[in-house]
Amino acid sequence: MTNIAEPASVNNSVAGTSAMNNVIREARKVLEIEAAGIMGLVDSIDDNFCRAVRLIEENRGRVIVTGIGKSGIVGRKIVATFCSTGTPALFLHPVEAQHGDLGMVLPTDLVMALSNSGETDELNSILPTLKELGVKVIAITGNPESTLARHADVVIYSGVQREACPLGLAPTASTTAMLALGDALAVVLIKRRDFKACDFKRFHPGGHLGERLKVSLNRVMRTGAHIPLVTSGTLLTDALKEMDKKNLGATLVVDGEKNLLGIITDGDLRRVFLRHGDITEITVDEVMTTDPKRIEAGRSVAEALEMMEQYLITVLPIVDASGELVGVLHLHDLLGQGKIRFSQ
Amino acid sequence: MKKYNLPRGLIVSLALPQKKEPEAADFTRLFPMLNTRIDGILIDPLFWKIRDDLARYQRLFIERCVDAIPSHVPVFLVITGSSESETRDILEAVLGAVGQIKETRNIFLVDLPLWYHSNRGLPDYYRGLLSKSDLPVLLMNDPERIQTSKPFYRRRNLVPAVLKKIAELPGVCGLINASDIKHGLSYSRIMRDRADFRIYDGKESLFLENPNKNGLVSVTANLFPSAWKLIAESSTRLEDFPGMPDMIKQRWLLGHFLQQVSKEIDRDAPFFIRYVLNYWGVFEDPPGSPSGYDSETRAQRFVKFHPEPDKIQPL
Repeated sequence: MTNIAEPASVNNSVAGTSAMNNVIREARKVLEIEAAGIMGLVDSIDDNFCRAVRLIEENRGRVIVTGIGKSGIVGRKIVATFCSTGTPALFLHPVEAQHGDLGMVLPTDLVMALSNSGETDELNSILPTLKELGVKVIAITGNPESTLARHADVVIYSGVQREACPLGLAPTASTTAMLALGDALAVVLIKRRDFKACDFKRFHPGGHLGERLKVSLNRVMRTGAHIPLVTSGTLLTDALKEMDKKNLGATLVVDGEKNLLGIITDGDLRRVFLRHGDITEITVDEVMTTDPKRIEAGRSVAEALEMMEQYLITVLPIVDASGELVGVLHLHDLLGQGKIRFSQ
Repeated sequence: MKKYNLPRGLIVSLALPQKKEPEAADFTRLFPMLNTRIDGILIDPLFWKIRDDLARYQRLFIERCVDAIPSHVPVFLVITGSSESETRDILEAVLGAVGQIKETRNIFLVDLPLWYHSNRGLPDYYRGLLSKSDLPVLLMNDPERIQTSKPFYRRRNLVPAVLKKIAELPGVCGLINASDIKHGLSYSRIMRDRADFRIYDGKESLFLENPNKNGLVSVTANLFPSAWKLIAESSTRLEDFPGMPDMIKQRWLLGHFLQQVSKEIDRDAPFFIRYVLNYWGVFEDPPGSPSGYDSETRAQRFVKFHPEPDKIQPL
């Protein structure tokens, strides 16, 4: 009988499937270990966690997060989360701290020190100076009996049952647990401070620029009493008062039907003063730029911005389909939806 | 909540010579080898295949040998017998012998309940058993060992819900788990609200693969205590050990070596370890009969490569 050997590709494919299964099994095991590590912390959240939250809430300075190695990397992420959720924070490298960076710590600050063992020399060596400064220390550590824990004002336990890495060569579940605790602190603080979506957007202007550009002008324009507005025939001195009151650097001129006739800007005023000594008898009709650039209310912010850039203007009147004035827009309103001003 | 001072790190399942009665002299060479390097000692005659009159054995061990163990090293005494009644007898013998010793040193009882009992009714059984004891107790879960006594028994692992119930009893403070990672995670999950309940790895391969932060019970540490101490410490207290590449490499190689030794010894550990200790001159008594057909050959090959006791120094 002839032996029929399996084609090489079949053997390879079987070996490949087996290797793939091992990869999947191993990856699942790692995730299970890390999940168990975090779950193990659920019941360890106690009064100490509340005390840490209270310390951060009452803190008048910044939260200085410090740690070395993987804990340091986790610390940097915690800083990023704190900053974007309304808790001023910065990262302090323990080694740099020993060489002068401790100067950035003010007595009004609060220090959050991260170390799984709580026996990291570089970190523990800056503790005495921190205590001298009178700074409160929150320790996040897996060893509540460690040097770090003993010197801290509040200890948050971050210990896990098991590491996912063979021989524990790299901290895995323990750093995940630390990261999760940092998130828990940040989220609790968000809720305690009534931090809203608009606040979050405020700290993420870059990320939301695209979104802002899509918005319809109806949502961002100034309307009603916020529009600097005078009617045709008004004295320039009265127009000046309107400009000063509405603080937009311009006023619009309309007829009795609210049809846009012109615009007077700060530049127009400069030119009037240079040409005429006395302006008390001058009306707006003599000074205004007639038929100013305008845009319809249904258009997008991006279109308004494009028009402003094209004609080098900062104030843009907004009209409805019939040409009636409905609003006005300043360049600053587009960049920050009125919340962020370059001038502030 | 009562604090039990359970250690973290390396607990050595002390190699016991194949004798009916333990003598302090049996350990005069072994104890100094282990002393400075371990965090606890487990006295488990059942594992070392000593089956006759365990109550007497454990009593004699306490009376004759415990004093040789430094007082700061916690001692874990296995009280498991072949039946409920024998286990009760061992417990009584241990409690009687421990007497004043328990005031000066940490002594823990360990029981492998599925060796003689099923999961059903286990919490009630323990309620009765432990009512007379004031010593803290750890349970042991070792499906491979259960398989040797009950090959057709379906449930060889402690059911997590049963463990949780038993752990509610006063004095029950930990578990030595020699099962797989899946069971290890289940036990951790169900006991997560008990910060004082400590779960140790009872299987070396489990610890080497995914180190348990509480530590492990090791058998091969009888042969390589300093290597095991280093790996146990570095695995349970990560940041104390610098992450320099050469150190990581050495730890990796050492861990790999222990994994190989553990695997080699695993099939007939009691014979293998006694054989090596006897060859090294640590035990005077011969190793007894091997269980595996090739145990002796493997042990001979091992001593050829390791003719002397552990020379590995901490890094």
